[in-house]
Amino acid sequence: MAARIELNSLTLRYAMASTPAVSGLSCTIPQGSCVGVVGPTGAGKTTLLHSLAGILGKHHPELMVSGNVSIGDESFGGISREILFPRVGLVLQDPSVQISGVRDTVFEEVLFTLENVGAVGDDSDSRIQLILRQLGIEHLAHRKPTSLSGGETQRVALATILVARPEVLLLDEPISALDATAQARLRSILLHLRGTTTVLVTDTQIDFPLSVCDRILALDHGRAVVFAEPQQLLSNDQSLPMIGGWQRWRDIARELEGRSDSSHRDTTRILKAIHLA
Amino acid sequence: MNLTFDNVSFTYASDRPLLKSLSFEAGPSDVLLIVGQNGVGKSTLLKLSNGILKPTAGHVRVGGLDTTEQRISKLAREICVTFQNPADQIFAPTVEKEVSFAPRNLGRIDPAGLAMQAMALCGLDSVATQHPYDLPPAQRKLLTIASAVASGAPLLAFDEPSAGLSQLEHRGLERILASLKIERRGLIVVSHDLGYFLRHATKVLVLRQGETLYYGTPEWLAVNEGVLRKAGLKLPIPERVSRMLGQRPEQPHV
Repeated sequence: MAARIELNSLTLRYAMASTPAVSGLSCTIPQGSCVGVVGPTGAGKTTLLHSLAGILGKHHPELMVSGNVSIGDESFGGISREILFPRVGLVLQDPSVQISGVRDTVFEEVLFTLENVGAVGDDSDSRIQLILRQLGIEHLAHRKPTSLSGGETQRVALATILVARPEVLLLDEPISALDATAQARLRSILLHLRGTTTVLVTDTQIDFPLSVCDRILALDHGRAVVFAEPQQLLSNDQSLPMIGGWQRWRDIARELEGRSDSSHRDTTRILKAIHLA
Repeated sequence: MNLTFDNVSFTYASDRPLLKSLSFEAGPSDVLLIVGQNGVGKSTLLKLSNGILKPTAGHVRVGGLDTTEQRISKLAREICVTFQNPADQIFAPTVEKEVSFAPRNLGRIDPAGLAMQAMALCGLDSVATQHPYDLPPAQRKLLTIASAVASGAPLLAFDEPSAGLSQLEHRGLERILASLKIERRGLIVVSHDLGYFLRHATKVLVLRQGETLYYGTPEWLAVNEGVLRKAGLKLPIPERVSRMLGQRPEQPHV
């Protein structure tokens, strides 16, 4: 079952850093929703994801934390100091780090997750096959995980987390090495998870989040600049230079505006086109 | 100085052929964009271009030198290949040492000066004394680009150079590409970022199942989307949406 996430004035400052990586962040992410976290380098996207996964405190024991994170019924009095997998699954920005290297095939690498979380059962094989098929990598099942291309590795890393069926799924720039077909597959997986898994997906560009997310959280220097539904965001005439690719969408909306009199209808048309594209 | 692939095929040991009969060329001021689905062999192709891998059939030539007959160290003077994952190549304890490694190792005149220029071009001068792994991933990516620029090689090959870069760094990359063009250096770019690189490309090579599906101008490709579809690729979302809404493309050829 998906979990609601609540951030309450969350501030995270790395030891020795002059400014916080995440600063006074408050927002409520409804259970089962898909949130696109966008912003430039250093905006705090990865820090936010790592704090939700419970690995940040482990890796940075001297981290200064104020505010609070709640996931589902659990409130952490700050951030979780324990790794929350498999309840919360995180796919790292560098997927090669996620490959254990101790298994000979992609299939066994994905099975390794189920072994680690004590979830091996009669249905393991079919569960793994299904994930590989959804991601379009069933042909890689018998390949060596460390011999794959960048985009293939990215999808195997995804499979090792998805197979655990986390309540909360955190994806750190998951499409950076994916071709258009693989992106479309990930998109349909995320649409399929809507309602059952709470998803946060980061990107430096707005295009992919706009096509799949029901909310966009734009961060800049650790602060939330915008937290809105795509429809609201597209009707927003603000200049949002921290969102990569935003200007192009403003231009598309403006050109439509020039041809009609209802901006509401325009944004609906754009969103419809995005979902069809 | 040209990179030439002449009917090149490549097979990894005990596997089926990955690349089949590829022929193309990239010279000074060229930006050759190579696109294709994940696993089609794009990164392998880059490793063939500087002799890390040798073709199973056909010839790869760098400035007329056949890669099967030359030492990699000699080819490195002419072509510098940057990997997709910065962690695969960064090893020095500071940014400055990393960037100056190639020009020093290749015996270029004034390696420190070349490194300084490259760091300035890539916006890394302010972090010159930092450890590369203290930098955010996007800056590490720029660090690998700076290292290639500083190498002084007339041909540069980049594997997904824009991956993970945000708006600001995209603009920085724009500056780097413009500067390399003025220097008449030839670029070979593997990327999924069609929206960005179709604007800069002088030639495009589209691969499908290890074979050439298309080799020609970006202008033709932009109006013949079917080729991209056949290769399992698409124009970027904003371009597709814009066309669906009956708008003019942003760029004449995108």
